[in-house]
Amino acid sequence: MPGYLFKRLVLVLPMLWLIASLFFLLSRLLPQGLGAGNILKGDEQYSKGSKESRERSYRQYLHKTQQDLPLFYFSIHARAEPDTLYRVYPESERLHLRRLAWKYGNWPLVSAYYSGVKQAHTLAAQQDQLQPHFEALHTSTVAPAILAAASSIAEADQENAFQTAILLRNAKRMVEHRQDYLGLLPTLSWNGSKNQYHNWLTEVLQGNFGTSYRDHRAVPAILAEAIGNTFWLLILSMAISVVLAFELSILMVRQKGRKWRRLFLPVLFLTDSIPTFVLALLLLVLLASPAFLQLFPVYGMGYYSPAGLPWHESLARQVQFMALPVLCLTLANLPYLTNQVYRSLATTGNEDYTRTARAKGLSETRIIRKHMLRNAWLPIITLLSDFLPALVAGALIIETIFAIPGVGRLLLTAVQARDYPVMMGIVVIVALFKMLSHLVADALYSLADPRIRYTSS
Amino acid sequence: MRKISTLLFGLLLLLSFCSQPQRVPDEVRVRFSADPETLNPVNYSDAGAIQIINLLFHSLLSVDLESDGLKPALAASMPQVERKDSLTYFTYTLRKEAEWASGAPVTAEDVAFTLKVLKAPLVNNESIKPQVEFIQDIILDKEDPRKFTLLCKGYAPEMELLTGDFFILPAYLFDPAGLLKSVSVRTLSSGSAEPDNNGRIKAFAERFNSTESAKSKEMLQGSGGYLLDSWVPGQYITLKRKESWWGKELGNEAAHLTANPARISFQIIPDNTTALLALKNHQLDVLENIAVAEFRQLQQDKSFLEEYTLHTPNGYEFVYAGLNSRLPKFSDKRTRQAIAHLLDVNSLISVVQQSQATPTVGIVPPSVKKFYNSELTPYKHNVQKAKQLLAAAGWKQEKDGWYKNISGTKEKLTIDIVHRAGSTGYQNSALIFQQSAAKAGIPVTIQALDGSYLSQRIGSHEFDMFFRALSGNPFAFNFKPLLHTSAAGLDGFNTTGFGNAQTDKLLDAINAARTDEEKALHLKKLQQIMQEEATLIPLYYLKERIAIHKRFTNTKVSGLEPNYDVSAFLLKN
Repeated sequence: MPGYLFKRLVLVLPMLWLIASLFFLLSRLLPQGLGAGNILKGDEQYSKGSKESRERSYRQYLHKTQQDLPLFYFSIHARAEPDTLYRVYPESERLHLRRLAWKYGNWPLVSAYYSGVKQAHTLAAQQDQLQPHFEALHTSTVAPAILAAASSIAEADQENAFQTAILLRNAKRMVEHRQDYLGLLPTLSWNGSKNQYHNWLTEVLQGNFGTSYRDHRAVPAILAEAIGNTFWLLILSMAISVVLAFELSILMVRQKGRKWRRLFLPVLFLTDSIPTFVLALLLLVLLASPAFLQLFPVYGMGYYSPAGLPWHESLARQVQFMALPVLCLTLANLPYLTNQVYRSLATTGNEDYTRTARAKGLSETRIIRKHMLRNAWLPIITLLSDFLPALVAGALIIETIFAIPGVGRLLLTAVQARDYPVMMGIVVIVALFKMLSHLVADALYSLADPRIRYTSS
Repeated sequence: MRKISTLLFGLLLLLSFCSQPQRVPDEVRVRFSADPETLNPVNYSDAGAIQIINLLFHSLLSVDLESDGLKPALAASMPQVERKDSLTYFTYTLRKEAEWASGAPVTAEDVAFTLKVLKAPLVNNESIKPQVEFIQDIILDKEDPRKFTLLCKGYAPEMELLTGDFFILPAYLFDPAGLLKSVSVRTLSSGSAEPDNNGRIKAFAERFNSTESAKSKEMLQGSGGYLLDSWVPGQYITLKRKESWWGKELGNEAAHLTANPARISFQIIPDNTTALLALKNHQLDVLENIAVAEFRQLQQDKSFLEEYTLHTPNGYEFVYAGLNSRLPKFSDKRTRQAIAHLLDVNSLISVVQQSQATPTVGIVPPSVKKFYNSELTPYKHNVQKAKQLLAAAGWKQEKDGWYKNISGTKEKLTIDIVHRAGSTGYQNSALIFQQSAAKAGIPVTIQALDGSYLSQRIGSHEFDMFFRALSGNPFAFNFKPLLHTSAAGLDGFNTTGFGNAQTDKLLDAINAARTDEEKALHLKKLQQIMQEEATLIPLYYLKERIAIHKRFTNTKVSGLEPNYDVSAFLLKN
């Protein structure tokens, strides 16, 4: 058994590496990182800084956070595309250049053409009638459209005849020397160890799990805080629902349990059909509002309290704040859990050993608790092992409605703000607990049923 | 049975201990929907952070929410402005009473230090650096340690606001070792110093960027009337009033600098319904951004109105529809005008904003009367008129829509609206427009896109029409970055492609205007042209929706962020 567990533990590591690496690479492939929103934003009527200085600032930020490096040890791109294209800013221009490169295949000609467009456009910035043509050159990749726009510009703009002639010539050359197939052929370029993935992995191996993009705090500290906030809440509600589920099932499985079944099963069915957020709001409106019963505080985990309170008083306060969320979580988990436990117990009721126990004249309580329950454990262990990852994954809806800063909310805000280091931390820790829970479940199986034995071979 | 009754009895006993927590009257509780990302006075990014940092630190100038005017804060008076050639000089003198939490005076050296922090490489200052790029140097007065001159490149009307719009940091706290002392503002502005080799800047940046300055109580001590008392992430941030604060002695001339409530708590409540319940339970004193439907209910709730006052100040957030005038199908302004006639602004306001908005003819807020062009009338919803305009623009109505020959090909008039996913307001607006466009025979499709993907699409000019909002203020009316043709390129701020040589000249004239009359003349002309061009179709200016507890007076409710001045709140006797 210990050998088996050790082997499983060792297997967890490559799995975690794979999950984290995939997450890292996928997250970096999305357009625009966190900095873009904050630095490049343009939702104000008067500008705080020109577009150019914002872009400069943004590139400095990318450089500082090493987001300007290539992503992985090697990159695959179309043969027509140069491997330094990622250095082109702004992003829209880069995307347009890439499309041109794919279409026409000849990078030196594409690049010459586009710099010609930019030069001619700067010179003719004040000529209104030319703007639609330049717009076409900036956005279109279709050959006839490009040629038409370039020749219209060359005809109309006599002031900068030299520049526009070059533009037209470059456009023609690009179209004539078109090499379609190059856009379809992949090519591999080697980036060396100066890449984002390498830097990230080295940091992680040194025990540095990164800092949040938003508040620059270390990710483990943020996670520990968030898990700490909901840990007691979740464990308490789980303990209560498990105990309740067992007691209710035992009540219902008794020979005289018919009346309990008729009472509980419909009630549980009803509770199960209410969505959690409705349940939470119902509890709030019924038990924490002046409109009905004002028994509990509405939100949070305790308000600011000026002086140090004696421990029993602060505990009493905590209990007040936790009452509604715990109640809500318990009610949300109870129906499913009770149903499973009850079904599992009920099937063991028809087994031979139960009949034997009855024949021996044992009391019903003893039969249920000693003989039936032990055999009903196996499916329940599987069920309960799912609770372990939930302890660190938090409960988003409850956390949001009752204003408890747990992992669920942390994940939500991290996703909204594209705070990848925090997201990564949560993904990894939930994955880790998921794997641990499988291990614990395996260990418990063999405890519950000594016939199950694991060997490391 | 006995067990159950004991259990019930115990439960009742437990419940009898439960009640709403008691409140101290001299504490103001404000709701935040999320934690500020950081309280770093340089690297802040959200409105909540600005509101809190404003209570801890001062900038040179501040907005008095009572009059919605710009007033001197740390500065003793508004700056003297002198324009010479291509440079502008802003001369400030700091208040002689102003002091840091330690009792040391605020001096021009601190301002110079702050500018260095804002401009230094490696420091987390990317979001604010572009905003002070025009300040090239600071000249300290040799005799008066409180007097200094900011040397700025060029001139723009918002410069006065921007020279006073950054928080002044105490050098003794943020740089006790004097690492930045030998670095000059001028070298940092020109970028000529070799920063990576400059060990001092690196050492300073490391210290400054570490979490210390973003969360610790010791670092976040400025010239403001409050100190950070505690920050429990995700739960609350509380500030306490300084025991003796220099601003108290200023008297009437600085009535906008206040620190009245003994304690201010910002409670983090993400869910709107929960926040509303907390308000009704008297656990909150200020709630803003109340959802329109709920606000309507509150307005009719008599018992609620006995305890809270509801405010609807005119805000400065402007919602508009943008049309991509670069597209051949929209290049004729009559087509765009036709679309403007299909936007039923009144029903948008009543459905989407439950009438909590003011229609506007242009980009200037109607509440700024001197610049608003009241001679113009907004586009009326009129399908017939729209059809006439389409016909005049060369479109022909056939069975399934409008067609026109555009450079040799027959094109159908369709409109694809993009908006940010998750914004029900824009989605409803798009749906209302879709219906009214259907009456005119124009098929409209609607796409909800993720925020950054939407900006990318708009930045690369791949859109027909969008709904967006812009935030503004009543001080600076420089529309050049937003409407000038030089900003109309890829990823530029002029997303709709508005403008021509004539409007560019007008935009420059607005900025160059020396008197309000001259400025008003140009601004009114701009509004008229913008209405005619109809690339950026104004819909409405939003009204804010705020509830404040009645035990406070002097709340200074305003349309400007943060919509009330929590430091001014006074208890009613």
